[in-house]
Amino acid sequence: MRGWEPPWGIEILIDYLSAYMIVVITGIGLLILIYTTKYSEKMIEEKNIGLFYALILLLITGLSGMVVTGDLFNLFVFLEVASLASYALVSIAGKKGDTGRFEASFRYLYMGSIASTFVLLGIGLGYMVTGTLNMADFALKLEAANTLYPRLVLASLGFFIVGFSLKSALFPLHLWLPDAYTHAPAPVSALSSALTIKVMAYVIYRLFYSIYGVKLLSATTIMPLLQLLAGFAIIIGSLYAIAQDDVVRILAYSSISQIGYVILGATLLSNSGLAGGLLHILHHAVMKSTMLLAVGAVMYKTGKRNIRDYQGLGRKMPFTMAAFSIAALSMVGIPPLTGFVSKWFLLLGTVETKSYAFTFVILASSLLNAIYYLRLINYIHFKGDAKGDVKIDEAPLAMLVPIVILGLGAIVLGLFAGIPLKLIEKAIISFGI
Amino acid sequence: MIIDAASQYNYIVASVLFLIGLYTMITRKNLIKKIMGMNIMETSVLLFFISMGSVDGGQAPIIIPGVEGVVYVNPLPQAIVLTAIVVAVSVTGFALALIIKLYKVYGTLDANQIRELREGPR
Repeated sequence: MRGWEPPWGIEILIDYLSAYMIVVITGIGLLILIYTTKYSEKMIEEKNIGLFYALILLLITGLSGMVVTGDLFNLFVFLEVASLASYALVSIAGKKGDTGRFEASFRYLYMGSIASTFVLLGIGLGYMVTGTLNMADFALKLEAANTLYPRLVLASLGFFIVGFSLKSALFPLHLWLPDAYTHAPAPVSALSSALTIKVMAYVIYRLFYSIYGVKLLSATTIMPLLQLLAGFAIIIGSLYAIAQDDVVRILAYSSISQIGYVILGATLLSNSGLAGGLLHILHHAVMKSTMLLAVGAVMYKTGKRNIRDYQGLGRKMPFTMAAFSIAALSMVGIPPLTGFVSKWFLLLGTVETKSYAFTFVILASSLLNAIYYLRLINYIHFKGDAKGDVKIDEAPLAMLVPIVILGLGAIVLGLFAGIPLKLIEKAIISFGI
Repeated sequence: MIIDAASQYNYIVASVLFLIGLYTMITRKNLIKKIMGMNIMETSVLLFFISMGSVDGGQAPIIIPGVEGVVYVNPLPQAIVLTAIVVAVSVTGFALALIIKLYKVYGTLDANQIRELREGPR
């Protein structure tokens, strides 16, 4: 950019991995934007609608920028663009005087800003030992730097990992997420769950395999440590989700659990594990945005989201709830739906690397997922008619179409998982495991 | 680059400031103080970047035609610091706007009291 050649100027780089991520971001982002056109009419204050769209577009810009950039400091700038947009999006919504959103947004902001500062310090330490910010150049010079200053290299990696784990809500650093989702409007929580935390997890993949490299990583204890945290995230996220009555909170804790799968895939150091983790980015994005958008449609129609208010909704809103149920079953991992494919590859990864404890964790988590998702499906379809004589009908078309497309996506991407997998395999070859 | 504790005191100051900021953010209950901690932490990283780019006896990196043999400091960390300052200012501005909103709604700046007020009527 600006007429400077790559090692000095800022480089925009699209390889297989970023191409895959950018398709996920723009595809899901488009569907969520279509949904927002109708949703915002009723659920967002009128004077804020323009700002709301501007912030959503800013968020998508920031995330796409993070994915395509080939420069570490540029990554930080786009990270801040995306983060500021998401802090603001959490606080902007709500017509009924929901004041908790300010506190949720503030907590998200101050935890997020700790993470950003950590990332900036990581960049600083990395720049100090390599003298470059270009990712490819950085990776080349890292080997020499690692023999001279091994501690600084490790410190920079540590700061990066803590920063991006906080942003992607990996288990002990997930505290901002449930409140933020509870108070954010549905399109925002869908964007955040499907895209924001996924892109942060993508950066961890990028750092591990394109920048620091497998050789350096396997010489440290970072991988087992992150595996352990991912395992805790998977189990504890599911346990918390079982205890919730608010449907949005169930989905929020479920997101914490699912980000554990993505990180587990990054740390298993096996091809199947990597394929599973990367595939889960797309699959979870499709499933979770279906569910969060469907919950938003119910909020739009009834204004309620307690699990008991979902009783009998299967007859009142057949298409929305059908899509919701498909996504929920897919989340449990029932073949041939999407959740099954990515979990299968992760299971293969755990078996290949002989980490059988994590095989057990994934299987146990599927059972735990079944507990809370089947409970939801039970309320929706099999608990008799809706209470009261509230007249509820199907969501408006502009909201229904994205939900149904995503719900069908949960089936189609499960049946034709080979198509994204081809791209992912090409990306994994460049990782050099 | 030999790390000599006495001559590289700016790095030590940066790390101490970083820890002070982090500690303030985690332990203080007052929202304004949390934001002050955040700013101290960010500034410490900026100090770190600036000290990294400095060269003993170096001048500002402006090339004057015809003058040679001058030692310049590294301009890249300075460009980074400028950008990071802009980012920090916008985050601080947004945080303060949120604090004003919180104060209008709850009438207090104490994080614990806000939580009690919010969860009380449930």
